Amino acid sequence: MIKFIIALLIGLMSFVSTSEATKSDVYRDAFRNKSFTLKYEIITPPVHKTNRSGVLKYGNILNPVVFTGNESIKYSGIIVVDGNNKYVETASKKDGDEKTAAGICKLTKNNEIFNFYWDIKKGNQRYYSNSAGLFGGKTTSVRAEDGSTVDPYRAMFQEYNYGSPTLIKALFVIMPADKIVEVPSMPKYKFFGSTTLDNGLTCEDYYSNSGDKFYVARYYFDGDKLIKIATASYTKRDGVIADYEKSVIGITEFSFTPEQKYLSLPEGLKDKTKRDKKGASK
Amino acid sequence: MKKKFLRWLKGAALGALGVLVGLTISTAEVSAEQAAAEQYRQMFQSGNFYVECRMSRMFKDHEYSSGVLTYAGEDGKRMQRTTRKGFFSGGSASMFESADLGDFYAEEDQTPANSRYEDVKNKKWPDYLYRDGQYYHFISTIGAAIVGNKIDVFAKVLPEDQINSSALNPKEGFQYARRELALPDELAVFYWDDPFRDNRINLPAPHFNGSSTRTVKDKTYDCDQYVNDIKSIEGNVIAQEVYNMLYSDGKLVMIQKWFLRDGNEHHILDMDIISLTAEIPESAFAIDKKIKVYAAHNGDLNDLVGKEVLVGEIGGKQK
Repeated sequence: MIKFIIALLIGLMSFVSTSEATKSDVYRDAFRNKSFTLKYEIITPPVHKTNRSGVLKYGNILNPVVFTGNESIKYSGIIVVDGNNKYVETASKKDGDEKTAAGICKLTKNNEIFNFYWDIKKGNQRYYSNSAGLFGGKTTSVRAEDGSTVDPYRAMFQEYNYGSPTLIKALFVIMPADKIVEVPSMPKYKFFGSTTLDNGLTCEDYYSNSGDKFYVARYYFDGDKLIKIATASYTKRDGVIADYEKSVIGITEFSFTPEQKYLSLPEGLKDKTKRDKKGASK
Repeated sequence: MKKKFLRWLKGAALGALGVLVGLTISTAEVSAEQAAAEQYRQMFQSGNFYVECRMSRMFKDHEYSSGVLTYAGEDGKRMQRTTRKGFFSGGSASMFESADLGDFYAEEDQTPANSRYEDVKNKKWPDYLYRDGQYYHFISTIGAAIVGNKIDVFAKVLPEDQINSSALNPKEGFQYARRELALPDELAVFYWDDPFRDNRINLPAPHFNGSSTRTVKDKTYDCDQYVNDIKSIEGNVIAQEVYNMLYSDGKLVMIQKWFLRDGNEHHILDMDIISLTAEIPESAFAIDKKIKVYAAHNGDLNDLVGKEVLVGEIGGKQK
């Protein structure tokens, strides 16, 4: 990874902007057309940022199951987008222990937002929600979020919110730049060049340099198929490199047809949303 | 009630649209800012100011309002106070900070007497205070434990060089200290470079977009409009924030905030200005009760064992 960054930095000195077609263009179109299924897993381990960081496993505030920073957690996720309907799932599990796998799901369908969860019970994936509220346990009925509480600022950011912040930063390369709010801490990637690795994979490199924050991203392709994304970033403060972060994300699947089974509530969850006569949720 | 509100909204929305249609205003425009605007700017810049305001927001045809919010600055000190906790307790310095807060609303009766939340009128201490290089957070435990007239309040103090520490105990609320002390967006139109403002999105100050008159709830005001463009990475405008500063007799009395995106207009909130002056009353920084001050937990040994270290006392009647 370090070698890659050094090579990139040396190469930057002879950077020439090109507007050639890139393998990631196809994926860029998928985002713009809002039609794709993306399944990924985060290969790099999570960064332990504070002495209190842990992972809230369930949405139940009174009974959180928290992993401490020492345990090895594997993150993965699923994103399915079909126009304005969207399913975002982030799952986590203790490395090697399938029984601890759990997921947090958010389904946006017909302008309604459903939040639910899954875990593993007796070897099977079980979906549930906590619609019984803070004091209830897991229930099998789910209600859409109250539409009238949608904060327009939040809605503006929610459109391109795919759950994992690590993944979102890596996907900035292919997200439509004219639709995303400019935030100074987020990268503005520019295409830098392609290379072919010894093992036959090709990669496309992107970099973003705004003031004192520096991002690089490398998209790995097997033929024309995106299989891996590596990113690194750091901030330069008073000449000292700080906040160095890196991540490697494995793309398990990235197809251009949305997988419809994820765009409806799973079997076993009953929709108990109160709707008025016009069918809008109350 | 609902019909009247809808009519009002339509009127207000058309009013907003009417002014905004002229967004690409030609430079031959005659309108100019109210004279008071420059006075307010200079007052905030001097660091000596006193503001009392109240925010209200429509939700499900019902109007919810915050208690009285007080912001003051004097000789390098800053304070913030709200008289209603629990719901809509205050303005955040930037609406983008609050964009993560999903639990913004609650069922509530209009009359304060029936409010299930702490509503301490004439509260004699601030919520957040910055003084002598230290941040104070005053935490009162009203609600569950009112014994007679006794209100249990204590303060936590944190030196300013630790305000960005990642080891702060989130329960002590210092992660919000700077945000709460900073003027909310609506007032920050006149004080965008407030040193307590952490502008996450890095928007420039809203720019003046013309004057007009506007009618709100059957009263007519002189309106100065300010607009902020929220831009994409490529530089095109995705959304706009619009502030309508409403003046009566040359003084600012109300601020309306709108959010425009994809042709939709969202009326975010109204802020009634109760007081906006450079004459700072005694009550602004007074702490009329002796309040115990404890050191803030910052990941040290006391934090880990849950020990509270008494640093001193603050306040008390001067006479």
